Amino acid sequence: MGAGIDSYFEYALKSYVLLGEQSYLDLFTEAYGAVNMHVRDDSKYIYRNVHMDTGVQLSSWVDSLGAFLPGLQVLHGDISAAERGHEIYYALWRKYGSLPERFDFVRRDINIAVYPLRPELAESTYYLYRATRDPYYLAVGEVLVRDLQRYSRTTCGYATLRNVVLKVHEDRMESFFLSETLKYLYLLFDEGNVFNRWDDNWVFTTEGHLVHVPPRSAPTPAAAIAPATVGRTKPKQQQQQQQQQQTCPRPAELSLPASWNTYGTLGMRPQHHSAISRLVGFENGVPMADTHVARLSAPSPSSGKRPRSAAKQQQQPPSSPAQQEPAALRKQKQRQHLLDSINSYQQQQRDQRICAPRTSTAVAAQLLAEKAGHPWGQPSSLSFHLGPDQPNLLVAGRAFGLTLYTNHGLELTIAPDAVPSDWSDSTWSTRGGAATQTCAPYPSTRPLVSPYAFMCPLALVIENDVTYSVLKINGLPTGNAFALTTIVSIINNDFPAVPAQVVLSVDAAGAPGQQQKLAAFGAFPSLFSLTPCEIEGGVTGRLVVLDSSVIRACKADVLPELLVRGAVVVAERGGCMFSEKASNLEAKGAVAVIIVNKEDIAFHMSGPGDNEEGERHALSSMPTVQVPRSRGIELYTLAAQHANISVHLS
Amino acid sequence: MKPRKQAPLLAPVALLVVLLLGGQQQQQQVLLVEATSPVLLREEVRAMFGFGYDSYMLHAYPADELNPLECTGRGPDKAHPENININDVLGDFSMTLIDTLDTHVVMGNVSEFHSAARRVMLRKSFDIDSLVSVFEVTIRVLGGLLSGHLATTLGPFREFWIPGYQNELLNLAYDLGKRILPAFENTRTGLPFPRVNLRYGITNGIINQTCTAGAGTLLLEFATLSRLTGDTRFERVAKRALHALWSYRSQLDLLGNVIDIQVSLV
Repeated sequence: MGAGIDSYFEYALKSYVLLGEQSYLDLFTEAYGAVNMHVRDDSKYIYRNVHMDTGVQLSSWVDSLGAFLPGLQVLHGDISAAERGHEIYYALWRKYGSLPERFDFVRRDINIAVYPLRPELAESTYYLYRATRDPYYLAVGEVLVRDLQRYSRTTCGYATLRNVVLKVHEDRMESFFLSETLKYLYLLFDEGNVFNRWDDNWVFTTEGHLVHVPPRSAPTPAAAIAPATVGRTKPKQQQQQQQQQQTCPRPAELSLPASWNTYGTLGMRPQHHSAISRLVGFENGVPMADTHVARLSAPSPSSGKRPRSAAKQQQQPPSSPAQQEPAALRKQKQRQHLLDSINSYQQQQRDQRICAPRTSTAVAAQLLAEKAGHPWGQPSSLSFHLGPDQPNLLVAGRAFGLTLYTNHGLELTIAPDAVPSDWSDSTWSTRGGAATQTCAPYPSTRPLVSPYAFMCPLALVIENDVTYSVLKINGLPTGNAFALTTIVSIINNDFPAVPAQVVLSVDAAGAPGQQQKLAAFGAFPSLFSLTPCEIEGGVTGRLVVLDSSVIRACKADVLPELLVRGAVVVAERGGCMFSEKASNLEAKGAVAVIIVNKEDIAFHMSGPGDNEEGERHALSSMPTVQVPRSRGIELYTLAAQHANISVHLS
Repeated sequence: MKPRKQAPLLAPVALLVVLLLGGQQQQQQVLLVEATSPVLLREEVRAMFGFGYDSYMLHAYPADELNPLECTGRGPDKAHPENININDVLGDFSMTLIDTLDTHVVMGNVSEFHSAARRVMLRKSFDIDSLVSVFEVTIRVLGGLLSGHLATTLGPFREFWIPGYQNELLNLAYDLGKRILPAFENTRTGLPFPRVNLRYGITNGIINQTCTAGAGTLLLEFATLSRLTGDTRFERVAKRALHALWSYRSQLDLLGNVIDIQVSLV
């Protein structure tokens, strides 16, 4: 039902609608009956590839092009089949934030990962909404819009996703994105559109073009090719005839309620959960958290797994009578489920030899304990406090990165509970009272523990000894194991849990072959390159500090290739994008880049694709890390004192 | 932050839904998230279209497509004729411009439609030495021209009528249609060749095998063209192809994904 054959069925039925000839409907009915008998699988959710003579299943994948079928089924009047098929494709979209070109429903994994901005899912959503007027489909449309904006928008258009997992762009925007995808989305949301109101035999071609012909009884003569007003008027009799040809079932007209949304933009419909879980591998559907507030105190490394302050439940979640009864039991199950999730997540990472996120287990466990009091452990509101006596958090400019592990891009809004007394008005206003940070899935060229586990790093500067509340987490997918384990880890460039380690050494004087260690410190890896620990054995090269005229590495053509080749290069922040510096140096043969920040803090450097406005450069396999100013000065000093310093990043 | 519409009546409604679902399903689902109003979403989609289309016009036109990363135009890959991914679709005819013609109508943008249609009408014929896919050029270009023509001549689109319109879009569609027709000649099965050269027709070396959708997805455009021009050839050949395909179905009434137009072996 996918590539190669899809629109044959479409045109058989639509030709009947357009032209009114019975033979087309007969052909479609027969072909569609055979498809339902031999091609649709027993679950009635999936249309398989089978051998045309034997009906034996040939493969276990579905094409994204097959997402058109629910729309056609609506036209045919088979709404329940349309809903089921649509739900599968929407679940795929939810799982990846996009629609992979080909998906294997036995392995529950991607075969072909490209998404060229195809319209089929939007098209089916539109048809289903017109037929059912179920606001669920408006919510689906909103998800499509949000994800297209988030993942495909570039500086001058919308780009094909070469890989829906990594969200890497390809430099192409097929014309059907403008002419179909957006057209169907527009019509979905535009209740009053003339094409939604007009009762006539206009049909969409497979490219989303609206065509219409006057009935055969009045063919336009060849002479009409000369200037003429072709068919501008239509006899009433013909209109009636066309109305009889309507094959689309017309439910009673529903007026849109003021509060039209009874489904969240996050959820899928419960009756399809088991099929979706089995075929797509997408667990979903947990209630959104409400008013529960958990308190998290970051433990100091010395305090082990004991949280510094006890959990305080400020407010009980409102619950219906039906929810209260088994609350204790459910709570226990939920807690166990959460702990299992985090354990299996960590185990999978060990199994797959993937660079561990180096989360502080103590912090994660603490968070889980806090969350356990809440249905499904999903706090909508979460606050945390960093004690004044946290030695590891006071260094390096009293700042640190906050990292959330989740399976999707998300938006986090945090604000201090109270303005600290030593904050001036200007400090407060530059922070705007609340900070919102949007982050994209963590790009990695390595296979991740699961296609939908991403690291979502944030670089918020958070003051020490201030209690913050997480006001809002938007876009956090609920329900699957990884989403439930929203792990908050607090890292600092000198904290033991820092993601990259840098070791500088020189040949020991008088002892050839012996290495003398000069310095060792942590560094923040970038989001557009591999983390050093993701590379087997790390990366080693000689330390090169660029001449001050080119130290920002923004001009590729003046970089000294002989010097750079095979080296770990130190460059300064500023002048151009981090990723530009990296790609300039990588082109000259550098093995790693250490970027020195202007201030005495360090953070995860994002690539240009990490915000909605920019494009994402190609991912680099050459690690790029950042160190704070003081570390940079240390590097410069050492480089001046020693020749042939060897740097190892891991 | 985008403005969001509050929905105060939501909570009781949703609680009711939760209760109705009852039992185990209460733990599942029915999320309460404030939703964006359809009108705001519609406007966001309009803005998305405007952004993409304006970028195409600014950076790419008169090329076929926009390269959204390099901000440049893209045409056929003439250096690599075997690159069918590109060359089946792009034929040096400002495809995005033609393909989006009736989207302006759907979105109610009269001035943009007029300006786009006038640009399309600058072209007088499709006499281009370009080997393109019969399927792709039909659905994207022929369909775009026809729906543009219909928008400016039929129905309730009085404001979309182009002053002084002389059926230029239909004439262009007719010209293109006649250049596609050679694909239907000299095939024993009635199924079209998958590719055709717009200037030279079917040349040596064009392969025979076609996919089912490619041969069966021409009728809407071809029938519309025939009905509008009175030239019945288009509807006839497309209808013949559709029924010919069906005649090669298996005993299970199933169709293959590809078919050879000369021997019908599937």
